[in-house]
Amino acid sequence: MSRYIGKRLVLMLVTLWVISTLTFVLMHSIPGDPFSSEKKLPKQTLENLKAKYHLDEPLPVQYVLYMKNLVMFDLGVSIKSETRTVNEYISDGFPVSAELGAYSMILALVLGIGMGVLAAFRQNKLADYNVMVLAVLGLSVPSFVIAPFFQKWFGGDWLPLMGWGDFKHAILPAVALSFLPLALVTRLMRSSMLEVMGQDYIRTARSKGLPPWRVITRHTLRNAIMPVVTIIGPLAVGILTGSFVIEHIFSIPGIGKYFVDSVLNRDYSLIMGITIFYSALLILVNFLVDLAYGLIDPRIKVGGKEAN
Amino acid sequence: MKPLLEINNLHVSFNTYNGEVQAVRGVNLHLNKGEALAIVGESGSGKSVTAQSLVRLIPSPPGLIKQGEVLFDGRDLTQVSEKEMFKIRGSEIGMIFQDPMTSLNPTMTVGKQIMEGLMWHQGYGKAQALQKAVDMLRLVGIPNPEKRVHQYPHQYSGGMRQRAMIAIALACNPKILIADEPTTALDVTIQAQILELMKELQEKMETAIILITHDLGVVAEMAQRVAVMYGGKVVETGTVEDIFYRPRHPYTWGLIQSMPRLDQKREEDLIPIPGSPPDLLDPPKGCPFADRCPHAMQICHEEMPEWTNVSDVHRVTCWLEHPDAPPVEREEPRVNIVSR
Repeated sequence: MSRYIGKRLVLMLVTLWVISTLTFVLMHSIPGDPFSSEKKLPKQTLENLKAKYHLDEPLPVQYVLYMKNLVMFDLGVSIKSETRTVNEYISDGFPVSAELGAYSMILALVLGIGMGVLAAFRQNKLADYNVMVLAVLGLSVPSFVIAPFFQKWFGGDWLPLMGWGDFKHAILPAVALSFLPLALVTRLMRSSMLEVMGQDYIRTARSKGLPPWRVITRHTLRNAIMPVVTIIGPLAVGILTGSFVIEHIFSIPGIGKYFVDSVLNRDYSLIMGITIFYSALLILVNFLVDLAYGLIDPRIKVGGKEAN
Repeated sequence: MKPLLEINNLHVSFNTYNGEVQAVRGVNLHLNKGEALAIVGESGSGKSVTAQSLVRLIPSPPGLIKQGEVLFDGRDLTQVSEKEMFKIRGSEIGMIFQDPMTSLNPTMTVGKQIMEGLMWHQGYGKAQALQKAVDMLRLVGIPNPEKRVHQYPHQYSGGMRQRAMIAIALACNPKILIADEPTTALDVTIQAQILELMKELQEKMETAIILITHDLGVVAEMAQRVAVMYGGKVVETGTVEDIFYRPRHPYTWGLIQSMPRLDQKREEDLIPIPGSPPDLLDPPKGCPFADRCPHAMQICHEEMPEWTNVSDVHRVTCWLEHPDAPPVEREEPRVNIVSR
């Protein structure tokens, strides 16, 4: 097991290196540079600025310099702000984004699994239809359309329209952000429950005389939850990218806003920093999901030989 | 002697898009204490539906017990509340199914799956249930049960899983064991072992067995009494000897004839029953076998024959038994029941 984890960690680092290299190349192939949008600077100033950030060096040299710093977890200074480091941006913005993302994820999983189970149990009945209508809505209406409606309906008197502070501020954006993942989880859980409910071993469980709730909690759920665990990785990606938009709409000082701005400004170090940070996060989530498989389904032995 | 279980005029239907499929159409059967009754018939004859209806395990909807009664222990199982059914299933009537590969929960240890019934029905504590689970595994012939009890189904072979299924079904010492094609999915040597085990346990625990099968070899091995089903009805019932050596119904006759025999010459063809079973969406009003029967008469297509008692236990529904029916010449049944 520890060998497997070690192997995976090495692979994760390789993945991260590939991502950062690709981002570096792509970023520098965009025309312009961090200073091109500013008002005309004197030639000498521009050259001094470029020299300060090593932008006058050939690209391979810049790459090596960047990688050297990256290994020491130094993501550099934001070119635009000049004083704040990328690490500061992340440590400022990420807790906010993480809180919002965590709320959405929990909401999507708990509510999605609950509604999926309910729909499966009331298959082709009113509750099922209602849940499915909600799920199709969630799939087809993007969050940036939902969010303003939420602001109009619930914002103002009941809940704060925008901003960040206490828990109340998180409710509307979290719900808006969880809309798509919630729909995905619900649909997946419903179909997976229906499939498991038709399995022979569920009939065996019923033939033992167990009442329905016991059959569900002890036999159906654990087998039906696998597909949902599988999509937690992609779900995290969805919530992450979704949060860029949602944070903008609700004026939340999370990392998403910085990221969008950094791309517009070609703030090289900030683009690199946030991309690498988020990539690392997602790679980690996927790794944890893989470990969770082994806990849920004994037939999947992560890494080692089968324990006999 | 009062039978342990009595099925009277059982009708079970499935509502499908095409209409109502009458899978079971008026089945009468009884099961005595400690005996093994085999229900034989081809696919779609209603044998599995009959068995699963006894404990109301048919999926409903679309399945529905339309009428009839199942008398067990002074109660009509078609009428008792679902709550009461929870107490009967697993505790008084155990079941084992066809495919041991899919009938066990893959994410739960075998031990826990045995313990579950014990803890639910008998109020066993965890330690006590675990002990009993180990005992049950030993009883069904699983080697090293102390270790095996903590393993998952995928660590068992097919035969061992069916043994584990039997352990689950018998854990609460039920009065009846319903075995729905218990050996169909197993290879022949394992089949023989499982049958041997079931026979042994039947005697040891005095459990009555309802054996659903289409394998006449299994019937000869296990059962004392046989009911032959066709088109949702029981067409003939009797002892194993009655059915194998003195079959009266043309369908039973055909079944026995179509069995391969050990002394058969290689170039001799097997004798199939021509035709196909009736459409239960629109069942015939006469005898369901009439369309395929070599001796069918006008009346066979129009009216269902009454029961005729050939002997105390040997009964048949066929117009050929009627005093006015023309005599039919039949070959001597060419069976040899080879005991395995």
